[in-house]
Amino acid sequence: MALTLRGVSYRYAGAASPALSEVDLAVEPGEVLGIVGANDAGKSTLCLVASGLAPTVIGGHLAGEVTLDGESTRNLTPHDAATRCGILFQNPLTQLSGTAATVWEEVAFGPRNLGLTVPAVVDRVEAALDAVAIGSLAERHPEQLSGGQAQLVALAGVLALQPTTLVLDEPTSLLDPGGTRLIGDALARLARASKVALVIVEHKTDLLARLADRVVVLRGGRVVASGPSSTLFERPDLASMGVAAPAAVSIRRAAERDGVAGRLVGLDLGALADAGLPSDAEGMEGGAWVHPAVEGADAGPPAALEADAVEYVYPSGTRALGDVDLRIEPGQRVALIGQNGSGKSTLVRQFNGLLRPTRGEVRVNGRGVGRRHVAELAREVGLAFQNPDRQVFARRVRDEAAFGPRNVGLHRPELDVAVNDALAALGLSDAADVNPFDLGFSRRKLLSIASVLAMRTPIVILDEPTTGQDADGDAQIRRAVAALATAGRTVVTISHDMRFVAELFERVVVLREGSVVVDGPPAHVFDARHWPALASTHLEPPLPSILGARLGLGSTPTEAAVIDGLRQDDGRRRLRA
Amino acid sequence: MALVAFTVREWTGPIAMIVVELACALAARVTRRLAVLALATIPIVASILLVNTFLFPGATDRLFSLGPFTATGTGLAAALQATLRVVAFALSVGLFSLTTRTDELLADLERRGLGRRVTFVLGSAIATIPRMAERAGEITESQRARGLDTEGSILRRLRGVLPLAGPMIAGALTEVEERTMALEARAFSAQVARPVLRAFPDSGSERIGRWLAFLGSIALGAASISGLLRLP
Repeated sequence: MALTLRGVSYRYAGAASPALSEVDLAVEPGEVLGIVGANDAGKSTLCLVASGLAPTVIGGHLAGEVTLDGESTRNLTPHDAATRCGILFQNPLTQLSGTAATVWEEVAFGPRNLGLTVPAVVDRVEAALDAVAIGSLAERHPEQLSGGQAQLVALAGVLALQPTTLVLDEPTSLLDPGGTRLIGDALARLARASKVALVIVEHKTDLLARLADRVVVLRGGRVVASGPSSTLFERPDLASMGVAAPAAVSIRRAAERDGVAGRLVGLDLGALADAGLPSDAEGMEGGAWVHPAVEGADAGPPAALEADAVEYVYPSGTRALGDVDLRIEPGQRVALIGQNGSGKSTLVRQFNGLLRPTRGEVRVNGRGVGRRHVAELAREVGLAFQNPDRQVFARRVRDEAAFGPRNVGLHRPELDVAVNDALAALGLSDAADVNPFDLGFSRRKLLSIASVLAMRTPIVILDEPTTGQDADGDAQIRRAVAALATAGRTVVTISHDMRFVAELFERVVVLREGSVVVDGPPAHVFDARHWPALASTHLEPPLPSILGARLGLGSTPTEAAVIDGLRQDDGRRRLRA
Repeated sequence: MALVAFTVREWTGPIAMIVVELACALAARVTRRLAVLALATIPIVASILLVNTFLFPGATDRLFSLGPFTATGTGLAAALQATLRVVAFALSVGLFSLTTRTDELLADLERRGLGRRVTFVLGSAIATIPRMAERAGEITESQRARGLDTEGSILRRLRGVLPLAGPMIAGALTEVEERTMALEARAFSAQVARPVLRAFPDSGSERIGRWLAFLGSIALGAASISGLLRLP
């Protein structure tokens, strides 16, 4: 066995209760084990314990036995453990040494630390670059890589130590769909071609369904279910364990429930999801794909948000937006999608004045943004950022949520009502008096959203709200977005989660290199004729779209649309028969 | 160059060094960026000029008076000389940072026997500065988006310190922990000597030139201080 855990319990230093209890696991060389579970189920702790970092490096108390290649981690120094078990974390930026001038030297960091001879270092670096197929990046500066590429370099850096086990803690959670596919492909290649035992923690069950031989579900620090991924992901009680079923499983189940699964017999939905799209984006040019803008809207109420020929150039000279025309009506739900660096974040920052257009005009509720202060615009536009840890500062959840509304002039008792409503909308009422840093990342993220909702702005912008959320958190955010829509507030989101986008938003705007390339309802944007445009900005349509196109059902961006299509198709067949 | 500028007395030392530095900057095509860096000396230069010109001890050659303060010729000359030395020093530091890549400097220092920990600490300290600035930018943006007014009076700007400092410190601590674990996971604490990967071209003539420049500077400085060498 490459890795075994026998009766393992672990408690962090200073913690009252254990983060892991009585965990038994064994992973063979060449096997891929997926770990799933709700947030705070102990998945990251399991990674630290398996790699020997806990307790050797971070302290805490370990009971039971963890072995790497048959040797107990208690007897291993950190660098010995590192040569047996590599670990990859979420954030590529904190994993690179930051002292290397090229990718090649970055990958060489580990082998050099082991004091190997230069020829041995060269061999290992070449092998590691080869294993994740990034030989072409060897001469690049590590800081000039995309998120996905940087994560691949971090992976190669760990592989260069030639560990027999590799533990990955949500390796794709901070990446865009293109980056996720890069990592997914690299891991699939490793699983096929090497004898490394892989342990992958992921919320993206679609990815695990593709990669894992076996899956273990953690809940409250204990293993509550395990089995081959093909059967485990089919379990009907998966949701009750805080895990979302893969899209393929969910669609098949819905079709069976409605008695329209006939056409899905013999169709491997998982393989359909794996295949992705042809990256052939030839013959497509920006303007031709744009959904015709709504004309003659001048007579009606002013747009909630309006960008008029907006161009934005950063002081560094990077042209992030080029000639963007966008009109978002009051009460509309709009999703902005596109690869990292396509201009989504730059665009939303124009709407609350954090950035001012280099050329063109931005209007909010019909008034030009001009030189109005950000603080003044915050009364109309609330923007929740991606990373809650760049925002949360108060000692109590309630105070954090009150910061925004107080700034925009809400007073008691109205302030208390706004705060309570916002906390309730994100399921945080029970935590109002807790210190935000005791919440865990995903609930802290919900708090950062609540703290913006509490400002009661007519327009709400959410940057990547579902990142790092488990099934429960995801459902919470969906409910909050639906409630905003019911209340008539305009909701704009930036998201890499196509399922979320297709199911909750009535309009999708695709950005590529600072320009709008496709714009329209999900059924229009995810239609097969726009797939090349999506692929050109490293996006993929949601699985229901791919399935609908395959079965000739038309454009079916959501599970409900596929089932509907299957039902109609079924009806037609019966009629003909 | 900084050594000569400070140790060689009178005007020749600093002026000669500024000329050499500008020539180097021209050759390395970094003149514009060097000029921007030189602007950073304005506050210190201004204070040197004011203090020396008006308050030079024992000077009597009066130029003009401003209220209770009297400008003196000796003071002004001393101020200009000091200014030239400071500018020469600033330019030498700027020239060094503009023409030397951090990673190459660190690799070379390690090759010369500096320990891996010291090398790493130096490297990450330098790399941390832009990251801290980026993080501070993100935090400020998210608080401003929640209506924190940082535009306008100093009082308003000060109000932004608390919501900025909290996430800044928490973020830095988290990052240190993550980085420590990532380093351990790459065998950083192994107690063996690391092989040197890169050889830097360093010809014999370059090495001789460097030593000559170093020894020459010391000799010049010593000669000037001891009074053996008198320059205008």
